[in-house]
Amino acid sequence: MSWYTLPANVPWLTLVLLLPLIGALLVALTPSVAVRVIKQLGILTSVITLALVVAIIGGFQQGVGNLHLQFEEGLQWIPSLGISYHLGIDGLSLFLLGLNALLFLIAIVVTDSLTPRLKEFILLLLILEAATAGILLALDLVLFYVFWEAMLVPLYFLIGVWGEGRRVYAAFKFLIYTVIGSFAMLVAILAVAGINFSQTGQLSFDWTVLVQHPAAGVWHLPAGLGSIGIPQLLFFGFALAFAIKMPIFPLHTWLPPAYTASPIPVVIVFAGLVSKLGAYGFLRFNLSLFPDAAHSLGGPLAVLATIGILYGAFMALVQTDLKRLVAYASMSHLGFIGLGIFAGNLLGIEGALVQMINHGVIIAALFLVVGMIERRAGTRDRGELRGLAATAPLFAALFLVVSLAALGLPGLNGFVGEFLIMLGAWSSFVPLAVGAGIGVILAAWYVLRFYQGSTQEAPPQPARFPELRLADVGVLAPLLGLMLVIGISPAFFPAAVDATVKALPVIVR
Amino acid sequence: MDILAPLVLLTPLAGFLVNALFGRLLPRRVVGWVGAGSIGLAFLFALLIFSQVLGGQKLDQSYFTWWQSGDFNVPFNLYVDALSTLMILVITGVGFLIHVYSIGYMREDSGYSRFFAYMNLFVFSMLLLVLSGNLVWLIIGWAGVGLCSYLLIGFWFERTSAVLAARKAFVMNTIGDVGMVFAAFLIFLNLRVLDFQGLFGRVHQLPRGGTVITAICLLLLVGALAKSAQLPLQTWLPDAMEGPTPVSALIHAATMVTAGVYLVARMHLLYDWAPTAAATVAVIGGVTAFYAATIGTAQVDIKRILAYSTMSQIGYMFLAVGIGAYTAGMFHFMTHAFFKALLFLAAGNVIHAFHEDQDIRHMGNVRAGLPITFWTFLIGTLSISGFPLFAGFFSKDEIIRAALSAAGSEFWLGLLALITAGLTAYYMFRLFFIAFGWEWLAHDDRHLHEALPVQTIPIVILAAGAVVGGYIPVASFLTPVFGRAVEVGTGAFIGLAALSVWVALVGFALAYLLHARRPELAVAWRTRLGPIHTLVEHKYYIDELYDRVFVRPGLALARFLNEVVEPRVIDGAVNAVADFTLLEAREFRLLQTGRVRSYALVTLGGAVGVLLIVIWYLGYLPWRSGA
Amino acid sequence: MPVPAYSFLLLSGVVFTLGAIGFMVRRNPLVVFMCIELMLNAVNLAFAAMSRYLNSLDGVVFAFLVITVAAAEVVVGIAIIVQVYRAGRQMDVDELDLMKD
Repeated sequence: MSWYTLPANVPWLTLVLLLPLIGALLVALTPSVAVRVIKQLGILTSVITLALVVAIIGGFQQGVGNLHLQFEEGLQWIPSLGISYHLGIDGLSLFLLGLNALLFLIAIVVTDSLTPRLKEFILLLLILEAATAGILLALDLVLFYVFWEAMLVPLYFLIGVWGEGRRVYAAFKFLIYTVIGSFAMLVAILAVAGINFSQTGQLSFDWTVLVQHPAAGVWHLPAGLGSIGIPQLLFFGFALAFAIKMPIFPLHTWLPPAYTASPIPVVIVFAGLVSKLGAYGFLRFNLSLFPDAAHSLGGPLAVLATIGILYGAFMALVQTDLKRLVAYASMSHLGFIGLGIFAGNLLGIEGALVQMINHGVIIAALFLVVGMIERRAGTRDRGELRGLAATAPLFAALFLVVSLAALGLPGLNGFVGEFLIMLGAWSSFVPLAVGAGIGVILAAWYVLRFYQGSTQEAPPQPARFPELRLADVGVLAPLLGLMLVIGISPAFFPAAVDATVKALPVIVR
Repeated sequence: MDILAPLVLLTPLAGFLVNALFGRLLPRRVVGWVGAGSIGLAFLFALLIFSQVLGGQKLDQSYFTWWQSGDFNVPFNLYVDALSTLMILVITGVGFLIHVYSIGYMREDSGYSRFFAYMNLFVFSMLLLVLSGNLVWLIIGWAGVGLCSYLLIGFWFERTSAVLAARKAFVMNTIGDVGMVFAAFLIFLNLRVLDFQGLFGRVHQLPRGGTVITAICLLLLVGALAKSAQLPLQTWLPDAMEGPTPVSALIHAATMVTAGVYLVARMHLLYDWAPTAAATVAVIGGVTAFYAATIGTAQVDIKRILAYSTMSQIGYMFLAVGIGAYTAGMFHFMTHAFFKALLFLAAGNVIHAFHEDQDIRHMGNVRAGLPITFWTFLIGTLSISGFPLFAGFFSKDEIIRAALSAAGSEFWLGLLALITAGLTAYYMFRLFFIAFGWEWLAHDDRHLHEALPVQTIPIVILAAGAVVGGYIPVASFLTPVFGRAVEVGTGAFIGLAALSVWVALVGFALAYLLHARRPELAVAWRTRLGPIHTLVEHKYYIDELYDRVFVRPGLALARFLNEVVEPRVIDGAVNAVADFTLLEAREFRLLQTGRVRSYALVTLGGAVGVLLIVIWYLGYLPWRSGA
Repeated sequence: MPVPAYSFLLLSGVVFTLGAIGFMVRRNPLVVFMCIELMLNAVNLAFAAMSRYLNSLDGVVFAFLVITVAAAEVVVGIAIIVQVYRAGRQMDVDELDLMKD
């Protein structure tokens, strides 16, 4: 970090949002038949975006800036309501932005050129990229909400039109479920601004303003039903939206059908990135705006997260559809992230942050592997696969590395996050850390069942399974590289995010 | 030394990378000698380190930071003292010999380069484990050897039995890993350090024998038990014999399985401070030693017998470090590495000669066809049985002596160890007589020929070690780490030595009688001991127990969640909301009659109603207020 | 004697009521429309009268709006009725229930 400083008067963050949109516009103007051009435009756009994001990450300086935010941009939008166009990046969003750019690039590269209506597909992916980036960068609550809702539209179509199986059901369920949470969040957003207004006389939806004056107070229910703390209520409103998005047990049932129905490029960004946005939301809002509520409500949420770890692991153990297996594995790993967040201490949260990146990398790689299997074997059923290490040794080797990262082998990236998260959890609730430990053992079991069941034993089935080509290795390579680098030398991570996490109100209190 | 230490690590790693990436393109000879050579080179570096350590040097050097946040500061540092030097010498020395042997043994295998890649990766991980200077990197090395063990047990992945054995080993290892991670948490949360130097300095801040330190030591023990295949996490080791014989020699005899012993020895300051935990170590060691020895008497697969023998001998090492006789334990580690590797490699020659048949009842008349193998195997058997002047006698005796001469309950463990020594001599010579016997027990005119020199020379070297290893002054070398061992009087010394020799002779005699001279007596005894024999033959049914208690219920729970809870309970609730909404919608739809006039009526009625309410609330009634 | 305010309102109310009753009772769509116009004009009357009596332009402005809306609505409505007539359907408001669910 901070080997160089970027010139200050360039709106870097807006550029990050605009580039995919410009790419989308260009794609829209291209005739639908020019399939190669469309895909190349998509790749070019995401490569440039990635380069830009890498430049931003390189120029990020630890501990500098207002509330550790850098590259801030602010414009008035609706001044009379205190809504502004305010972007900024800090330790929480820095690496997630990088993950965003990387995963979308991989998703576009992996998109099959023979996809029907490729133009619309790439178009929607690029719009989605801008929307998710916007979620990470927005510092105004209304702006955040706009991007949050904007993310749903392309995703709905991507699943509902280009998906498979019960795609419309899956897309619809996902949409409605998410929107319920979003409405709760909308109410909470309005309430936060309103309460802030009544307490400070200033009407603003800006996070940097709201975080300085945490909401307080009690709401007395009529007819002697007692009283609820207002911060707790607001916390709940935001939490519902993020808990559905992550997802946290038991609000997860939209996930298996949605992941299973989505085409591979979509599920890569869906599982790899969109789920993290819920976790990010918890950190950015729940733990920053309502620290006291976070302490009191963190316990039950941590318990749910741990249940999610174990539940996802058990479910993954008995799935026959590989995509569904990875979906539940994803849920289990997200439970770890949740546990780290709600442990509420420095190491737990840092562990959760690094694990967000790790999980994105690992799950994208896992779904890539599943996609490769499906394309070559024509099936996703675990029972119809066997002994692929004999016919495709390179594939089996890379698959092995991904599997080892997924089960948290020390030396690869998964271990870093799991270690810190469990350590953080141990400081707050020992039984939950033990539960997480059981989750680790279960992960070894179901990952090996998955890996060994597909690649070991003889005779190989299907008999013909083409080996990986250079392009396939190329797509996996950056992910594998990250697995190794983060596993062996992750010190760059705390170097960048330490200051931000230490300043989080939930830790300071 | 700060450059030598990383070099020791990097040479095997380089060997791994070369063979992993290019192995398929290189000729076999290159692959084999790269694989063995990298370990040989590491051994030379280890010798250099040894000479420096002899001169009193130590090392505790950080090379880069792994994670730093608050006072959670974990570097990548290497820690070299007498203990780690002993370990790396054995690992690279014996490892080198086994790699050379493998050049011959694996020459017909299609996965030749893959084999050497994995073996080098294993040595790298094992060295990382013993050289690392903090608990996190030790755990990383720990997991690395577990990974290589998995890869090499399942090396012949076409075989279902090998695949399952590999998985079992890995999952059990993970249980141990989790235990160690928890121990690391306790250490950090109470002492705020994870590196050894800091840890050793602060251990005494905790109350002696208190809950915290005992919990730490017990959790570390869980890891050690998993890795070293001691009760109750021992079931994976016999199955691990699915791997190629050099793997069994290196990983499952000489090095990886001794990692647990190393851990306890390295953490001796902690275990000295937690007597209950140390006692647990000793008891588990002693009981496992006896348990494994009994099972060994009833097995017929040559590698399985050796596997249980390993489990038993490691039990001795655990017993030793548990009662505080650390130098005795490490001494036995070294001698055991010599004779166990020797036994396995010789067994490998025999297995190859009999075309992969591992049943000892089908073997015989080895002496004529494989003379070198025959005599070296005999040396190994004599050593492990504790015959005087051989290495095993000195090291095993030291442990028994330490136990028997201690006060308190350790005496009983010593007695158990003594009995086990007799059993050891019995089952090893049973193996020798049945497999190598003078009688030709299988069909004739099978042409047995000795193995290649590349396979016999390492065995001879190991045999030399199994003989003279007992004279290496390990105890004085390790004094800077553990302090001086407790001495016993000369009278007791000779008395105890005589006792253990007598016990070994009894075992030998029994084996000679039952399996060389009068085999029909063996059969008779087997029938008379019927149920006991079956129990022992089936390893006390512990595998079946674990399957019933853990594996099947686990899968049943998963299936229950998948088929009942998820679709009916959780999703059921979600879908119920959706269905309820649809139901209500159907009700409300009845309002949409499509008739304008009914709409109009309702509208009018509503308007009038609103008007009335407004009037009421405004309190405006024409005859009340003025005009 | 100047005309009191309430008489305009009374007239407006009576006309409105007549229109409302006619709207609900009659079945010919054209007649229903005429009744709608009656109601709207009644409201306009009230607005204009109060505007004068309160010396404020607000009422008249609102009347303008109402007239505009009435005109637009009539155009659309008559167009629909003509189409219905040409399609051969009954000119009976109760029979035209295609918008039902």
